[in-house]
Amino acid sequence: MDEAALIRAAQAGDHDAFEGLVQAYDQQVLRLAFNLLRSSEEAYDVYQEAFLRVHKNLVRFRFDCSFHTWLYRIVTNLCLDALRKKKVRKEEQSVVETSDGPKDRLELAAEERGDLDPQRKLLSRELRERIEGVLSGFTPRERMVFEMRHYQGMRLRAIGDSLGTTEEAAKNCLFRATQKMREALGDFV
Amino acid sequence: MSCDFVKANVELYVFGELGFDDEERLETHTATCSACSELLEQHRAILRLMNEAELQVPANLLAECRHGLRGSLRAGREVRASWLDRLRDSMPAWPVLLKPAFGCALLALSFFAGQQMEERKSVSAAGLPTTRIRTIQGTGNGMVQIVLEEPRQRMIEGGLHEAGIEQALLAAARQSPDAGMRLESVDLLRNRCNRDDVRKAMLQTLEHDESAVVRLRALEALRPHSNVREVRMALSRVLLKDTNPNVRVQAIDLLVDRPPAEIIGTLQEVIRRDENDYVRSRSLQVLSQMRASPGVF
Repeated sequence: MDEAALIRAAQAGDHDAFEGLVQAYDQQVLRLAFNLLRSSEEAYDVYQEAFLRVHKNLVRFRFDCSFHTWLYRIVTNLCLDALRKKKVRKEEQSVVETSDGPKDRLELAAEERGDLDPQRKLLSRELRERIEGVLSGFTPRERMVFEMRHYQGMRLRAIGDSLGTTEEAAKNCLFRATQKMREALGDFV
Repeated sequence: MSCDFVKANVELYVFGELGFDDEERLETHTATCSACSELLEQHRAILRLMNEAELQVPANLLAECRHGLRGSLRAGREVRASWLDRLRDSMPAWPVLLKPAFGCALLALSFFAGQQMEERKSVSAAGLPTTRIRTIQGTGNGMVQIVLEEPRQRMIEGGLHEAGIEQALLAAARQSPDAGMRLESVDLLRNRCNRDDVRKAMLQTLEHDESAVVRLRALEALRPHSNVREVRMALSRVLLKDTNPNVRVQAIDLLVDRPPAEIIGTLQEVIRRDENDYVRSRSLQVLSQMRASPGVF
């Protein structure tokens, strides 16, 4: 069944069709939310809220835009709200609790990939701090645009559509994000 | 083509957002201009560094999210069905003359619903039955009386050994519609399986939880107690009935150290009827190690 048929079936109340629609997009949605919010709990909440909103409002979806764009409008709004709350609460933490005690998130990610030899570990400590600093120095919108472009591979036009803005505005966000990255990481390259 | 063009467009180039012609112009220029080539490489290197910041989504998170969503949608459907059933049931019992009054009652209900918008919003937005309708009754004067069941939030805090905390975790492990919460409860209780009530709750989770992830976690928690008779019996049932091959394989691994006579029959049964090749071959392997026959004669 193609996407339009799935959407129409889900609009008519077919639960399996709705589940098919969710499963076509939910990995990307979860990856975006998890990387932006850097917390399983918050990514879980965004996932639930996003797809429950989709379920509730699907009957009003009129194919004026792609389903992907419509879904991402919901997801990006939820993520931006969560990012803004994080900024306000200053809860952006780079340290997570593990069975071996507190660890830096990036260090943990590198360890999970098994690519951290002792020399590189020492060398990259400052780099990790800088990268974490870059991420927390982005505004929520810059973070969102960078995440969607760099990690999710979305085009600027699609990002603009999802954020309810223009391609030009998305481009400006990306420019500002790039500028901040160059300032923070320029001496590492 | 000038260096200024490269400086103005290098960001778009590295993100693949330049048009074909501009991309061609930029590449032609950087091939011959060392300063611009260096600038381009710097941008690429920064993006490579930023790849370090990408986190991998934890393995079970997607499954937990999907399970949680299914639970919420099912709960939402049950709330709607309960509403409709109650309204439908109440209609025939009402005298015809009261039907206009019932219409008024519905209007009053709408008004009431409007006033309770915040609560309704939380029900529909979260998709969870935080508000349930217990009874609906016409009062005869065009009004309607509705009894709502509304859970109130209350925070309790304490150590795992405290009775209130343990009871709350046991209840969450058994009853929560949220798989993530059940998983968390099982994890917190895992070191307390030496207690009968905790072990019973863990066995119930192992045999009856909807989520294979939660069942697997309960099975892990029971691993140190695999010599307890009730655990072994539960594992034998799981081996024959669980729908998830991973759970069945883990159950085999926990059962293999028991006296042969008690497990051989179960494993022979698995070989005879399990639809999963790996589960059958694992059972065969264990029987072979025990020098037992794979078939029943």
